[in-house]
Amino acid sequence: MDLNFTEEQSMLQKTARNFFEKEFTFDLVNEEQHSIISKHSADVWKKISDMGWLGVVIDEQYGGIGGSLFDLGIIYEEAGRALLPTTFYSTVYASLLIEQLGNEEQKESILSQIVEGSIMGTIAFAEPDAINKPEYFQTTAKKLQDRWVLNGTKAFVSNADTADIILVIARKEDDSRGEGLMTFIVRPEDHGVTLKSMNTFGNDSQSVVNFNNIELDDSKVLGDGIEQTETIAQSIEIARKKATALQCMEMAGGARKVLDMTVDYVSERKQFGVPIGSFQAVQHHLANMLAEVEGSQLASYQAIWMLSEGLEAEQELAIAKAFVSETYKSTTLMAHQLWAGMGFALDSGLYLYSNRSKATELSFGTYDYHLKRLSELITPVKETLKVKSENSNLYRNTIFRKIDIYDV
Amino acid sequence: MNFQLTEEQLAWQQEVRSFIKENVTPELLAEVKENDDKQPGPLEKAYLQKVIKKGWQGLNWPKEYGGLNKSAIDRLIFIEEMRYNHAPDQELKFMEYAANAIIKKGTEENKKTWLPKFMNGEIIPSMSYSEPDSGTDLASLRTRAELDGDEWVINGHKIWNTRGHRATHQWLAARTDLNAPKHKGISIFVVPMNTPGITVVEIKTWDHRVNEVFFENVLIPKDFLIGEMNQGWNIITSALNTERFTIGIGSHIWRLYDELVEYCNRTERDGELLINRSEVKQRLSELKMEIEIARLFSFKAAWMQDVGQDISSFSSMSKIYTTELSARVVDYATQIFELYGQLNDDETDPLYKTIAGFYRAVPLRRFGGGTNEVMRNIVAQRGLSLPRK
Ligand SMILES: Cc1cc2nc3c(=O)[nH]c(=O)nc-3n(C[C@H](O)[C@H](O)[C@H](O)COP(=O)(O)OP(=O)(O)OC[C@H]3O[C@@H](n4cnc5c(N)ncnc54)[C@H](O)[C@@H]3O)c2cc1C
Repeated sequence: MDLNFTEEQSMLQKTARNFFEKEFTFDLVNEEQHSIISKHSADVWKKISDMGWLGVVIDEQYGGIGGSLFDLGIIYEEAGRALLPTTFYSTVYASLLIEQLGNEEQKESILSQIVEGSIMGTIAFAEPDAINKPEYFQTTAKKLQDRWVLNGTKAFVSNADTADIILVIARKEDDSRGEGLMTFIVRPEDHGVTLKSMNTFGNDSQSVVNFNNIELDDSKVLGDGIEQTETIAQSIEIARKKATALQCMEMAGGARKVLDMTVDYVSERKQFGVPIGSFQAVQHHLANMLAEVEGSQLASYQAIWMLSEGLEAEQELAIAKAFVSETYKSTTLMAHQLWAGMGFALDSGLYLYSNRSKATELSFGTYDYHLKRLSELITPVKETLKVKSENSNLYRNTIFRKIDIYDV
Repeated sequence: MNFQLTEEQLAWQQEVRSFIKENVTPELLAEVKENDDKQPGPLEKAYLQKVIKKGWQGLNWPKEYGGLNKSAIDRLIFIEEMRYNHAPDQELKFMEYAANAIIKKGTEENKKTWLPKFMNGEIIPSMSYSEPDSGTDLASLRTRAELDGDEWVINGHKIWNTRGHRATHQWLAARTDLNAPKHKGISIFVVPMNTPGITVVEIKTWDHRVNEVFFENVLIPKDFLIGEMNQGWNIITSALNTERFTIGIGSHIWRLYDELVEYCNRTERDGELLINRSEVKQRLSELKMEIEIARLFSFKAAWMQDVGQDISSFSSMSKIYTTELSARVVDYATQIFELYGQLNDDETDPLYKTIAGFYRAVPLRRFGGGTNEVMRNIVAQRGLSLPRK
């Protein structure tokens, strides 16, 4: 058990915080969130790419740094504090899937372009009637001689309007539930692709993307021609788990920032001649918020650290996402209570976090979704024991273990 | 960053488990339960001596005083295992607590006279802090100790004293200066229970037995004072972080949770296996999530202690979180048992006759060792640097 950052990680954290604070001043974020145009700034993007942050976990041979998922998580935590435009998240998510699934050629061409900052990507996953389970997707691909024909509708595609490539998760037409998932590399300008932007209250860009008889050759099938060690469904799942853990880090950072801002606010704002932060009722709310924020950070660190080490993190990830979802949102809502009138004024900027917390709470699985996963791990007991033994020297093996003192 | 235990820590955990398996027998537990309001029985005495002989009651004691000098994480591992298996540890905690204070704040003389006795189990103290009018505002305590020649004369009334009926000595906080500000006129004493003038009166409580302890012209030698005169408040507060951290270790309740899951997996009621009820699964998952958070808090607090960080806010937070969660776990257990959840020491109790006891014990943790309201003040004022009024 060691909760220290390495020296490099501390440096990375400091650099990221300074950089984001400089580039994303409050006024700027506030202004950009008001516009419905993309929040993407080519200038900042270039700088982020120069820092190497678009290639933290990408192999050196493709121009990346070859660092750990945990390192990338540190950047996400800071990005969450700063409300970084979401193009960063969607592009990294796409790169994780390419890294997981792509063939040499695809990695070579696409990943290196992503690292350079010359293209952005996104993943089209959710559909109008299937949000978490690909086996219920209705977007399908049919093989016609040497071409694939793609049809279907994806929704809530993050930054589809600015992405250069959209990775579309589809099912093979002759597939009956599950086995035949495929990922296609589609360009928004491909013939038959239409985008319709959705109005979300986070004001980030999300779109409905329609695929109408898109014709694609094999080179557009992600991972074409290579033996995969995992099934495609598993690979997608792995990339999603990583992206979920990263988002937890973003959320933990956002929640911490809201707490920090609130502590500052109640220390300055006076009523009855004293700072409102000296009232016990206010202090107790904040003490509760701190526990939730600390808990979120620890749970997120644990989940991403485990994934970073190549460990299964089924339980830990479900716990992290469920807990941090509730925390981030409730931290913003309690902040609204403690800032009262001022928190409602757009100038305060608090609402930006309130919006983002709702958007993140609802993506990559809600509280209920992750609790359900967790519940699948506690039933039946024998299954739980199997899961436990995999990471047997985790500190937690003192609990959730077979009770051996009393005979049941 | 690393969330795993080291090889050494795992080996230590294994060692503790083997010890428990061998020594914490159903017979011992039955005897302890039977004798709670009386003197310890033979099995309990033998068990305590075994733990003491190993030096496990004070794992962090420095080597120079004959301690094992283990890390806070090792101590956490030990307590988690002990509590998980309901191994009795109240007396052990009192010994540890008193010896810690002497090591930290005692005079050289104290260390020579008292430390070995606290460490080798010769003295089993209980805590005489609270008074009828001094609870949360402990520093307002009024029990007096006046120096008369070579002796202290003690007069006063203590209350809520856990284990006072079993202790060999009182670890007593008394006022030694009436004119100083209230925090600056308190001193700590060790008082043998066989000194004339001490009366112990049982208070029957909803949970375990506690006592009133009356001191009437009790005379003790001058050198039974611990540390410097009027420095008692420092001694009391120097132990609080460890105490809160320790209350924050909730593994007896996490054990209850594990048993609950097993129970739900094997129990059919109204035609349905309990674990198949969606509402049961939902609640159990929620609790599991929160238990994981509570354990992360304990481990982080231990780690912070090992790297020398201030844990006053963090240990308070951990105490709040664990004690409030514990109350919910136990409450939910009774609800899962439905009508069985009201059984008290009954043969058909689904949980080996413990559920009612748990239900009565958990509220105490929320106010004992510093009330959770005061804990929240500490978190806000030290953890978040909010202004005091
Ligand atoms: C079973 C049991 C065992 C015990 N064992 C021991 C023992 O061995 N030795 C010992 O010395 N004591 C012991 N105690 C006493 C225990 O430590 C006290 O009960 C505790 O310190 C609270 O004091 P009180 O009961 O007088 O409550 P009070 O101080 O009267 O508090 C009542 C309520 O008021 C709130 N309150 C008080 N002041 C404030 C404030 N400033 N801000 C906000 N809220 C406040 C409290 O948080 C609490 O909710 C034991 C008690 C019990 C019931």
